[in-house]
Amino acid sequence: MRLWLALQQWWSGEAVLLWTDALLFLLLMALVAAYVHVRRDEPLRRSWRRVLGSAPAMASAIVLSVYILVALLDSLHFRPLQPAGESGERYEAGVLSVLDAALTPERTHTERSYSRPMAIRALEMTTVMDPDGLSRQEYPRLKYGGSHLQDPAQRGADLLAASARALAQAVLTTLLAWAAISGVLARRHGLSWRIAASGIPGRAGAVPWRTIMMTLLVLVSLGCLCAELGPRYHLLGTDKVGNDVLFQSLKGVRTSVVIGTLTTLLTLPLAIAFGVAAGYFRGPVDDAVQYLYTTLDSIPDVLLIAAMVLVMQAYMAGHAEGFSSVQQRADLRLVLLCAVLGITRWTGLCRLLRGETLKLREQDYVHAAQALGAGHLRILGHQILPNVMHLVLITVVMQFSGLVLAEAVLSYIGIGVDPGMHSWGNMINSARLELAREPAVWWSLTAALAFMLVLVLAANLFADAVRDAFDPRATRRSEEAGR
Amino acid sequence: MTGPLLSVSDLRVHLDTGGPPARVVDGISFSIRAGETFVLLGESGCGKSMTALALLRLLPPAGRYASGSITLGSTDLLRIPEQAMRDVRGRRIAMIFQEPQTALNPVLTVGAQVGEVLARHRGLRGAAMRDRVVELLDDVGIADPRRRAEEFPHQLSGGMKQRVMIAMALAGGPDLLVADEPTTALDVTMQAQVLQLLREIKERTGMAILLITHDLGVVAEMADRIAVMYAGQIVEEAPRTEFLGAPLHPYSRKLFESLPDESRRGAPLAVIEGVVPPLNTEFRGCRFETRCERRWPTCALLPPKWIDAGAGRYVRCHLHDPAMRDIPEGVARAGRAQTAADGPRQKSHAAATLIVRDLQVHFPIQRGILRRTVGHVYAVDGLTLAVPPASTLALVGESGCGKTTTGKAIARLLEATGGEVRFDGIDVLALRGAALRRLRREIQFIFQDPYASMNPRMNVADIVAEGMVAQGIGRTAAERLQRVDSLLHQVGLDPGAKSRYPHEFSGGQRQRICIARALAVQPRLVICDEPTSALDVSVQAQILNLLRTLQEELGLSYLFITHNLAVVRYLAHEVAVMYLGRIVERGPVEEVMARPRHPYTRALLSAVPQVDPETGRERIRLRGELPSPSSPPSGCHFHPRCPVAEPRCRERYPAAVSVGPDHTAHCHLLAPP
Repeated sequence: MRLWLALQQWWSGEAVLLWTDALLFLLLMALVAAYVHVRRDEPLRRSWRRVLGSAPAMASAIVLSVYILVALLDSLHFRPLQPAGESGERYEAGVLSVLDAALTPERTHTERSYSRPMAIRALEMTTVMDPDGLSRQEYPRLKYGGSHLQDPAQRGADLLAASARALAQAVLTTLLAWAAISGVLARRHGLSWRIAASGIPGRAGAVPWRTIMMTLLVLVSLGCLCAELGPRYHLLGTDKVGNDVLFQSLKGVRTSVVIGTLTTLLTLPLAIAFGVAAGYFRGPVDDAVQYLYTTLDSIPDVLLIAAMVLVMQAYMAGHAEGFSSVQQRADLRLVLLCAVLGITRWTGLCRLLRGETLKLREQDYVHAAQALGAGHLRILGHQILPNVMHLVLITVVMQFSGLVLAEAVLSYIGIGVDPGMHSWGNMINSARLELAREPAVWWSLTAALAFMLVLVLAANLFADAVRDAFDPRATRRSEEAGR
Repeated sequence: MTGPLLSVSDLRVHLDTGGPPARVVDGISFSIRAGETFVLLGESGCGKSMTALALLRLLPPAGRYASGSITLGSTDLLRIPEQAMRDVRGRRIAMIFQEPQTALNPVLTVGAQVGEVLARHRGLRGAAMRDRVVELLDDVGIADPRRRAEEFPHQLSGGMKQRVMIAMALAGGPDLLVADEPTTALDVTMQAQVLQLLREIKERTGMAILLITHDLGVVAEMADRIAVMYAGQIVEEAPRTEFLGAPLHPYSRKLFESLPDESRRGAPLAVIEGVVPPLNTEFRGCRFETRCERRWPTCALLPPKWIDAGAGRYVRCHLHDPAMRDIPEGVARAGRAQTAADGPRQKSHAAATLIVRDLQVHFPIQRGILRRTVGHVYAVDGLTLAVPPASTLALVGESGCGKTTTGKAIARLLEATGGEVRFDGIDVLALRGAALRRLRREIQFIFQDPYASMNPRMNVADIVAEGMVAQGIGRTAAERLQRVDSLLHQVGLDPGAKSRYPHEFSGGQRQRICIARALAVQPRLVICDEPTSALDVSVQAQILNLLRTLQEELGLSYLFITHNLAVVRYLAHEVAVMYLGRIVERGPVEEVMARPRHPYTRALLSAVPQVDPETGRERIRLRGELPSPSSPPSGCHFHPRCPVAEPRCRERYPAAVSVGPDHTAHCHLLAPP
């Protein structure tokens, strides 16, 4: 419901397209194109069907798609419509994303400072003035967290009731989804609805619907819990300046997804073009490419990144007038960080592709294409490229989690994303001081770690399944066993 | 003679594959007497190798023994613990494998690997062990054994490695040697040497040999008794002379009939339709029923019994069952009447389609970090040949003599270093860009390995249409697709196959697709690089028939590269024998095969195992191996191995001598003094 209102706001507002937004949506279009291609290509379809049949892969795919959905919502930026009758400007100056708009209560409910998860009072005492003029120390009530409660003692009951409501909603939604999926399956396979519904829990060899439904249930429960409690409590507490930690963590999703995907996207053409060209043409081309990546590989990653980020910062500080908003500046810095990270990471894939192409170009079918008079480009495009794409795919999914972690590490040492940008790395960075406090502020760090852990774990599980399905050696083994 | 050395009874081996188990060995029984050579004969996928592994309890992880017993002497090998089994392996039963390249450990010296067996089974150590290693290597005919023992496998040639493998097998002094296709990876001359060695060892030591092969020639040369395997079962067992004289089972007969040979020239070869059925199916009747030409209704219903046909012969076929008296008339006829309609061979040598003069392909050998060229591999060094229109020139030679390089250089898949190639008067080697692309239409290539020559990511329609797209044949996709249909039909495949992918086809079917792809651009010359050597005999016959029919229909010329002389006899019109980058003899096939003049051709011909070994056949055993093409011997390249070499052979390369109509050979001995 809130999402719907947010989307309406976006529709009426003035759309703003940041660099990362554009690239992210470009990536989305590429994914759709890839899907269409896979549907038509029988060997690829077979491989993907193996991925679909694996339970951990499906569970992590769902988790990943939730993350990606959040990232995409956070990438629809706009300037909201100004309330009528005020100054001449039609649109507000600040840029919001759909996610911001959807999370409006969490975004704007800013406390004064730290508060524990689901607390109704602040973490620290302050001096308050009694009506009768006496000043005394107390833990003040939060401005928003639990402000609907008259009596602080009602908090437990209220939380319990809200959780129960959330759970009920979640179960109901999942059941509805189950019914809908059963209906679709029943139609497709020409079964009765009842059989399809009972068939969902565990039919061997097919898509693991049972796992899918369980994952959905868990995710929907979490979502409902946030929706129920979010507006009234700070579900994961607040940070030093009183910002909601849940909101920050959700905003961090986009940063991570952007780094994990765009880095690869920016450097993939480089790795593929150089690797395949080196392997296919050999000779001087090969020498040049090898020289390039050996040199790049011998420079320490972190040093290179630090140097480039510092240069970039200096440049941006000198050209502040070029950026119309803080967000744009932070965004450009993110793109450049992706590029820098990518420059240090394409060599592995390039080397892999060169080796594979060296092998492939001696294959009889490449000779056959030559004998038929096919040109270099045609051979590269039709014979070589389709036969190395599994390597590219495996590398891309395996690199994703590594990049997410790299962002956190780089932000932690201060050469990552813009300090003003929401990112898990920045949250962890600030936790350095928070953990040293008494009482310790642990929730910020924990939230960032939990979000990151789930994302990286899901990405790794998914990458494993993809590798198993596409690695020709693994497949050959299973096919041999099947013979 | 006492009881059998090894007896196998009702052995069943299942491979668990997730679905129904594949019954790779399904109730076979046989016994081997001491000092006997017992041959298991069959096509690939019939369970021969699995039987061998089962004897040594070396089944792959998915395999398990379902029933049966293997008795060696008086021990049941399936009942003893693994510890005891290790004393059997190598000590009592030794095994040699097909691929000597992968069976030896590349990081240990040859001597160390042979010594390991001695240490394990003979308890020899130190100097005694080293002496025994040298003795063994000497026994298997390795020259200079003391030096060779210190060398690593990569320093030895394929034939020598197989000798080392045999030495390792002999080290334990086994009673039984299991040889799994020991000569399949070797050239004919090497094959002859290794088979001779096995025979000698058998006579000297009285060891029994279980030989696994698909080659009927090897069977004829080696076997005492033969068992034919088909789809996990033994379908026939017989002593050699009886088996070679008149095989009983229809499958064995078909194997003989599908052998290409001079006597079958001009007529299509018999083929066995279809393929070996998958072994995880539930068989009801005879397993060969679907491919058998002499089947009758009973065959599909009842499994045939194991019938004693007298004189030590057994067969698993209803046709020989005395209980079956009601075999319908007409079924018992011997095979299909063959249509011997073969057009007369075109003798019109008006103008050769392809003329190759003095072709050279040298590969530089580069050493050091600066990659200085320190020498050359003279892969093809002054080769001259001509392919007349609408006929077949066979290029014959051992592996490593430059046959494939020649083919690739003519098709411009490799750059020639020198010489001249003229196709219809066009200088092929000078063509560039668009002109070269036009030439590609005329000359096509068919590769040896049908598994590697198709892109696994493309479907059959795309593969066949590849050349049409590259050459701009057919304006629209629909037009091309129509042509793909007719091409597939032409090579004997169902046009419905075009949306499928290469992995769904068998080896023979894949080779048909490759032929369709080559034909798609309407070539006039097709270079066939051993197109049947990766295929089974019966499938080879199908492909040879197809190539012959296509030649008649389309007037194609073939440059047929092969090492299989039987195929040459069957298919070729002219033959050119190649040795170390040069042609040593060429001429019409009847001439060369009947009256070979060059000593190398004679040796090559005599090394081929014959199915019906006529008595008194002159056998020329070649010494040594093909010299390295990077440092060819001075004078006549062949003189170090030549049995009749003279001093002048060492001095200069002999010129071509005409020894008959269109028949020339390079040999000093033939030159008029």
